[in-house]
Amino acid sequence: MVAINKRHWPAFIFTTVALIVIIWVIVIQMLGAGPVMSSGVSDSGRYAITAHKDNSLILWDLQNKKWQIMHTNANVYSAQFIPDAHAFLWQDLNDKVTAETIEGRNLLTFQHFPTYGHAISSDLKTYLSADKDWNIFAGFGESREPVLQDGVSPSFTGSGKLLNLAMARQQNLFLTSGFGHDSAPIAEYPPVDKERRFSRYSGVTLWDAKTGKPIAKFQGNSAKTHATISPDGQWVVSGDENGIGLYWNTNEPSKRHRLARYYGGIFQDDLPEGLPDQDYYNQSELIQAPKGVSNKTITQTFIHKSKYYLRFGNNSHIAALFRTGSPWPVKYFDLGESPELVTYGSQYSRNTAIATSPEAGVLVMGHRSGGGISVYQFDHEELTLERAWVEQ
Amino acid sequence: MTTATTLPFSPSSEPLGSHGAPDCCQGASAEVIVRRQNTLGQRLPIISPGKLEQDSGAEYSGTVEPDHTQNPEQQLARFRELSPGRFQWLSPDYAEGEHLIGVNTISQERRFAPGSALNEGVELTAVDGKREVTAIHLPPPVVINLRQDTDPEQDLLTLAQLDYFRANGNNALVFVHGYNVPHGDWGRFLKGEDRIPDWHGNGRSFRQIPRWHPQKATVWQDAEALSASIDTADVHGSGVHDWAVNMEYRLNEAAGFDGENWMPFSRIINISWPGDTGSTDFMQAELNAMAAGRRMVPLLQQLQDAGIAVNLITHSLGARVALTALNILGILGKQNLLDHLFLWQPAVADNALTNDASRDSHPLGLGVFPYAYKAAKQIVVLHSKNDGILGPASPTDENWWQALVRHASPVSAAIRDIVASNDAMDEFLGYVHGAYDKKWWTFPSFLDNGFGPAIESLYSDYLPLAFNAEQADRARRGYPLQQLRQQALGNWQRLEQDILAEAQSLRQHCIDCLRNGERPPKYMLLAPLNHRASISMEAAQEYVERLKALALNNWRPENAPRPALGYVGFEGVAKDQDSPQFDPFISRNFDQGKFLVLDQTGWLLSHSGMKIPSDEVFEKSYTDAIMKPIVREGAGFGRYK
Repeated sequence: MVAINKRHWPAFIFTTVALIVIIWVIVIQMLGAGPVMSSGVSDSGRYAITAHKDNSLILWDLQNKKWQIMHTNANVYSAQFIPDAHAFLWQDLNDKVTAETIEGRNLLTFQHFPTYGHAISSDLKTYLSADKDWNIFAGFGESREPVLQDGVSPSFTGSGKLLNLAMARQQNLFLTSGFGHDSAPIAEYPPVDKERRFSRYSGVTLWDAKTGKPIAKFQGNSAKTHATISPDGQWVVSGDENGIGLYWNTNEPSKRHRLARYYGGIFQDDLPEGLPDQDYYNQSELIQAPKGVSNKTITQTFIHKSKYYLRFGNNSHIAALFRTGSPWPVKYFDLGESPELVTYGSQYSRNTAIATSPEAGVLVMGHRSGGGISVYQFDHEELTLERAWVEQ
Repeated sequence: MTTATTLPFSPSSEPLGSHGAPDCCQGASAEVIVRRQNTLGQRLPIISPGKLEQDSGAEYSGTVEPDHTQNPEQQLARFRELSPGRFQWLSPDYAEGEHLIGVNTISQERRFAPGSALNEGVELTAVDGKREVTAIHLPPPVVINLRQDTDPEQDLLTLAQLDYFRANGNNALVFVHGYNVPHGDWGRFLKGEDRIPDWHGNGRSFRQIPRWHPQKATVWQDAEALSASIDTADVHGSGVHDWAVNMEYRLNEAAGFDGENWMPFSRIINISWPGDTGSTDFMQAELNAMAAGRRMVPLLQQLQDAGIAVNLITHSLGARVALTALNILGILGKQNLLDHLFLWQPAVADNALTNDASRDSHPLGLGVFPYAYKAAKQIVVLHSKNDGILGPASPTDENWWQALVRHASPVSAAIRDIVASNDAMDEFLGYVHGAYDKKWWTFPSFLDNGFGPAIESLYSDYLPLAFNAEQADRARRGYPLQQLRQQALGNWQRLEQDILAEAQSLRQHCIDCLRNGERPPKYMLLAPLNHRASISMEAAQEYVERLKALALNNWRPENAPRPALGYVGFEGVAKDQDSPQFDPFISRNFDQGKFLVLDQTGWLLSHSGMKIPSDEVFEKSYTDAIMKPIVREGAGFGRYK
C-alpha cells in the first residue's frame, strides 16, 4: 500500500479523476468519431480532411501525425480539399457551405441545399454540387443553375451510392458517374428536363465546367459505377461493381478501351460469336494477380499526377496500380489486412472515404468501422506504396 | 343587369334542378345512362344496373339494355323518370377485382381509389334530359395457380387477359414468389367498425370490430390510414395474394403511379406454386419449384407467340421456377424470349447460370441451368449479404448494441412486412445460419432436412433402398442381414428399371408437347431433372449412377453446396483465373452487359448521418434497379413512359 500523506489525498483524487476524464474524452472522441464518409487530401500531401458518420470534421496533419476536430456539425458527404490550397470545403447541418483554411479562416461561405457530394475549383469560382436525387447544380445563391436535372431515378437512395463528381484541374472539364450507362444521344435528350422520370445521364458523363453542357456519354459500365478524370483532363477511367473497367481519352471520347480483368485479361469486343469462352480474353501482358484482389471497383483515384492511378475493389485490401493509357495492371499493393479498410462490406456509398493527392503521391483511406484512417505514400520511381501512418 | 346590382343569390354553374324547387315538386324528366369500361377504354358487360338513391331517400332501379347508340353488342344501364337532383349510384357487384376507380361525364372526370365507392356510392347529378356516365374499372388481377392438377388451359392466359396486356403497352410483367408462401386469399375493403363493449371487472371499454364488404380487395390499401385496429392481413390478403397486391403496387409506384389516379395502373401476372413444404424441407420445395417451372413454359410461349414482351421477376426460390422454365425454353431455341429476368435474392447456386453442366456441384445434377441464359436478353441478380435467410447476416457498421439486436437488410425487412411468417422455425433458421445452407445438412430426425426425406418421399414405393447392421439387429427374428441386402438390391433393380422406363416413355411426348406449346408431362421418378426439356436414356442412366453414389453415402453429398446466388452474387465464380471456379462464360456475360449483379448489402446514411429508412431504400431501389431498365431501356411496363 503506497503511503500517501493525508494532506495530499484531495490532490491525488483530483488528479486521478482529471486523468480519467481526459482519457475518457479522448477515447470517446476516437470511438465516437464514426466511420469516415468523405475525405480529401491537400495537393501538398501534408493535410487531409475527413467527415465522419457522427458529423465530426477532422483535419489531419499527415506530416506531424496529429489530428484535430475542426467542427462537430458537418454534412457527412461534404469533406473536400480545395486544389492548390491549404483550405478545405465542407457544409454544416444548417446547409451552409464554407471554404475554410486550415487555420480556421473563412474564404467563402454561402447557404445551399444539403449536398451529396460537391467540388470547387482552386480559384473558388466554379462550384458544383449534387443533391439526393442525383441532380447537379453549378454555382450557388442567385447564380445557381441546374446542370443535370432530369428525373428522380436513379437516385442516391435507390442506387446506394453518391453521384460521384470529379473535376479536372488543368482543363474546364468535370465528370459524373452513378449507375450503368445510357446510350441515347445528348442532342436528343437535354440534361435538364422536368418531365422526365428516368434520367438519361446517370452513367459516366463528361461535362464542360464553364458552360455546364454535356460533352460525351461513356457506355459500357453496369450497375454502381465510379469514374474519375486525370488532373490534366486527358483520361477518364471507370470501374463498376460488376468488374468492368474502361478508359477513354477525352480527345477521342467515342473510342472505348477495356481494362484487363485482374484474373481474366482484356475482353475482346470484336470477335465473332461461337468461340470457346476462354478465347475472348487477351492475357498477353497480364501479370500474376495476388489472391484477394477484386474487380468489383468501389473507386479509382490518381496517385501520381496524370500518369498512375489506383483501383480499389470490394471486400479487398489489395489495390491495383495502372498507368494511364494502358489496359494492363502494373502492380498490386497490399494495403494491409488490419485495420479493415472501407473497401470491406460493399460500402459503395462511402466511396468518397478514399482520397489522394496525385501531386504528392499520398493516399488516405477510411476504415471499415471506427473513425480512423490509414495513410500511404506512393513512390513513382520505385513503384511502391508504403503505409506511413495508421490512426484508429 | 349591372354589376353594381346586388343579387339575392350567386350565379351558379350547377345544372338546373339542384337549386330551387324540391325534388318532389320537379317533373320526373331526368334520365341517367351508365356504360362500363376498363382503364384501357375497353367496354365491359353489364349484368345488373345497380341502384340510384336520391338525397331524399327515394330509390330507383334501372334496366339493362343493348347500347344501340354505340354498339348493340354491348350493354348499358338506363335509369328513367328520375326527378332531377343529386343521386348516389350504388354500383352492382362486378367480376372479382374489377374495382371501380373512376367516373366520366361530359363535364368532368372523377378518379378515386378502389373500394372507396362501396360505402357511399358515386355521386351523380341528374338533370332534365339524359345524363351519360361512363364507369371506369380496373381490369381484374391475374393469378395463375400451378398448385393443382388442372387442365392445361388453366396454366395459360385467357383471351381477355391476352387482349388486356396487348392493349396495355404490349408488355407483361410476371412475378414468381419464393419459398414457403401458401396460396392464401385476397383481402377485403373495410365497411366500417362496430364498437363492442368489453367488460372487465367494474370497468368497461370498447373494442373496435371491423366489418368488411363481401367483395375481394385485389389491390393494395393503406391499412394504417383505414384504421389502427385492423390486421393488415385482412386488408392485403395472405400468401400469394398478399405478395401480389404488394408487388403490383410497388411496381406501379416505381413506374410513376401516383397513388391517386388509377388509370395507368397495370396488372401483373402472379404465379402461384407449391413452395410451402415447411420451413426445413427445402429440397422438396426445390423439386416442386422445378415441376412448376415446367408448367410455366407454355405460358411464356403463349406470350411470345402473341408478340407480347415479357419481363420476369422472381424472389428467392422462385428463381428455380423461372430458371427451370428458361432452361427448357433455351433448349427449345427460344432466344431472348424475356426482355429481362430479375432474380431478387435468388435461392439457387451462385453458378446456376453457367453454360457448363460439368460445373454443377449438386450430386443429382439440378444445380445449374445451362441453357437458361439464352432465353433472356438480360439477367439481373439483386443480392444482399444482410439477408439472414440465404446466408448468415454479415456484420455491418452498426454500433455494437445494434449488432446485438441485428435486423436483416431493407429487403428482408420488407419481406417480413409483406409475409407474416407463422413458422417459428423460419426465424430460428434465419438467425442461426440461413435456411439455404442448411438444406444439405443432416440434422437430428426432428428437423426434417437433408436429402434423405425428400428422396425417400420421392421413391417411397421402392424403399428400403439401404440397409445397415443396426437395422438387422432391430429386424424381426429370422430376417437376417443377408435378406435385407437382397431386398434393397431388388428394390434398386426395380427403381432403375422404372426410371429408365419413364425416360423412354416420356421422351417423345415431351418433345412433341413442347414443340406445340403444350404442357409437357412431368417427370415423377426423374423429378430432379424436370429442368431438362426431355431426358434421354443416357441421361437417365447417368442419373441412376449419381443416385446410387449418393445412397452409398447415406444420402449425404460429398461436397458442400455452393453458396446462394442471392447471398454472394457472382463473387465465387468470377475470382481466380486458375481456380476451377473461374468461369469465363459468366465473366464474358458481365463484360457484354448481359448479366448484371446489384449488391444491395451496404447501409445508407442521409447527409446528417441518420440511417435512411428501409422502406424508402426498398421503394427507391425498385425504381432504380428494376423499373428503370424496364421502362427506359426495355419493353416497358404498362403504358408508363
